[in-house]
Amino acid sequence: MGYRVLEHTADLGIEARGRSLGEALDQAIAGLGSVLTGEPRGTAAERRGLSLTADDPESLVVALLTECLFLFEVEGWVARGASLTVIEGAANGQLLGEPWDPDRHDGLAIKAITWHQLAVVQQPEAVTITVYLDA
Amino acid sequence: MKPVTVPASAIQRLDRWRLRIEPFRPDMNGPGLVFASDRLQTALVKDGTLGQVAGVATLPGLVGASMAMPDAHQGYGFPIGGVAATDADGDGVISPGGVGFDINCGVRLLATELAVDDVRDRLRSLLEEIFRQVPVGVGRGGGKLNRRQLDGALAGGARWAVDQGWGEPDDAVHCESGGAMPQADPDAVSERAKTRGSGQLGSLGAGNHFIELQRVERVENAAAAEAMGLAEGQLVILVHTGSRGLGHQVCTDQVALMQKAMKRHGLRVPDRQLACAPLHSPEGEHYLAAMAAAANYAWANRQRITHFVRQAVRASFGRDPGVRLVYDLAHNIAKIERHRVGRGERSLCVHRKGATRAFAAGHPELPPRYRAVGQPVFIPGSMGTSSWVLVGTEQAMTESWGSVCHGAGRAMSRTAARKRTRADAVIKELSEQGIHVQAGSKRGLCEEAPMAYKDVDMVVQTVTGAGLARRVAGRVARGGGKGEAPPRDAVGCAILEAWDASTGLYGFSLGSA
Repeated sequence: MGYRVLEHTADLGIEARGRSLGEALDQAIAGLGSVLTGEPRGTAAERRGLSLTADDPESLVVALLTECLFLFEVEGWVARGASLTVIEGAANGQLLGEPWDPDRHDGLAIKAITWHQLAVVQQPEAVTITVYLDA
Repeated sequence: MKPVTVPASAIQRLDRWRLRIEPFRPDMNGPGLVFASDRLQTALVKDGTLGQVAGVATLPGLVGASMAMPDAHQGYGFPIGGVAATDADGDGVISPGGVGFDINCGVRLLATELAVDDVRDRLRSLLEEIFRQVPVGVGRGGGKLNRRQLDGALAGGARWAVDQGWGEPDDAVHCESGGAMPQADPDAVSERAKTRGSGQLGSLGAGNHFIELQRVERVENAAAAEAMGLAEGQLVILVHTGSRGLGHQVCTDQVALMQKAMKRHGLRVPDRQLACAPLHSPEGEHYLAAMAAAANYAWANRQRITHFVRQAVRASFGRDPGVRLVYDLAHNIAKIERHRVGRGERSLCVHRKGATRAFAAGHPELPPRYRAVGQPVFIPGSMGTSSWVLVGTEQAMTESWGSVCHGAGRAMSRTAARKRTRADAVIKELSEQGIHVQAGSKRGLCEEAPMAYKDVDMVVQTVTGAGLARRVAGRVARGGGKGEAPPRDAVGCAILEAWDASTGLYGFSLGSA
């Protein structure tokens, strides 16, 4: 379980795996945080409440990662993971993260989360999210 | 959804510059038309661009072909470098993915009255002054706007910015669409988008956005260059940026809304990023109003940056050396335009995703200054290579809805670029060419290294060879350099040269993340 960064001519993507959709979302957030900061792992000392609903798992991925981008751009806060309960398209819980540090972080500016080849594959042993980012 | 793959049997080479993709799926509403030489074709096949051209051809109400310019590469849903028109009078759709997240990302060329040879020893300080004046990189904004000001930018674009004191009276006239799309409605822009945009007007951003100092190396089309006020040896400044977080959020909001609209309208597309709605539906009209507002924000953004650049030039030279806006044009936009279709004329919704409008001489939308020569088009190369000035042609009007390429186009992913080079190597390589770089980050510098891009000369050669544009100014490929020399028979062309190793010009690239 974890994430890896995927190559794409335009920009890049993230493949995240977890034992549940909540865990896979946590890994997708960790992947986005690594792209934004240039650091694979960071501290996750701060918590922020989160409540989102979406029509389907793919929409939930876009909504959740878009929320993380918004927090990064407007508040300078980097989400590094999440503790989420996901029931029927509703995600509730907390984002875990840290303030962005311009002296330490040298990441890639991400414009948006795309729907391009977006996939959430739910199998008994694991959930895999594939999502591409526009940089 | 699986990516669309194009069978080899559907690909037909029409001539040296064109490929046609025959419709090979029942849901394709037209063919594909790709402007690419043999050498450029290889990359387009390899990275899936042709499949994306075919995917765009499934859009309902498509008129003519789904097109890709020679700088095209794989994008999200639409290829970057894609052009597609839908019927704006009938059942055509509008697709946010056909515009992209950075709505009205575009370029503007500023011409000074200075000769590079006269000010060479002060170029570096000018670069540094621009770097001080223009917020650059991740987390750098342009000062907070209140809600009334923000709505003013969304409605009025470059004209509003000029009214704020950030420009000269003629500036907005020399922007595509006069620097503001009339369909804009600030109320169609979400609060979240406005929150992202309120602190960023007048900032460059990151990624491939830049400001470059360039020298006009050679003029090939004297009449067009004269109309643009360009002369050999002149110092010019090229600015590339867009609508920042506001535009990104508008697209994000609208693509999500379109997912629901697709179901309601019974539409299906092969990639969810191609989500669309009929132009004349509540969702289609709402998107057009929001996209136009974001486009206006981008024009206001480039206008405010122009103000900062003028301040920097004044500060560096102690006088006003007359920095004039040559033209400003959009790379990512959807416009309602009148075009000849068959024997008649129709209103089309022309999507340009990483492509440039290139109207021919005589078009009524061109400002008087350019009506006799055609619309100026600027094609930035990567760091370390040329940029070009072109003008649109009648051929572009009849074949590509008055559109051409927008740059060199990426040849490899950011990750691959980072694996292949280091920032200090890029700086050294450029320095050896006389190019000075200021960048927001080392990582971004690697990702934007020249080797990550296609050969801009080859791209320009393809659009001029196909007759979609004529060269006005630029750089001649050096002996032993990349690509083939531009064709000399292209009609009265011109070249705008960005970099010149022999003269040690300082280049300037900003905005690396």
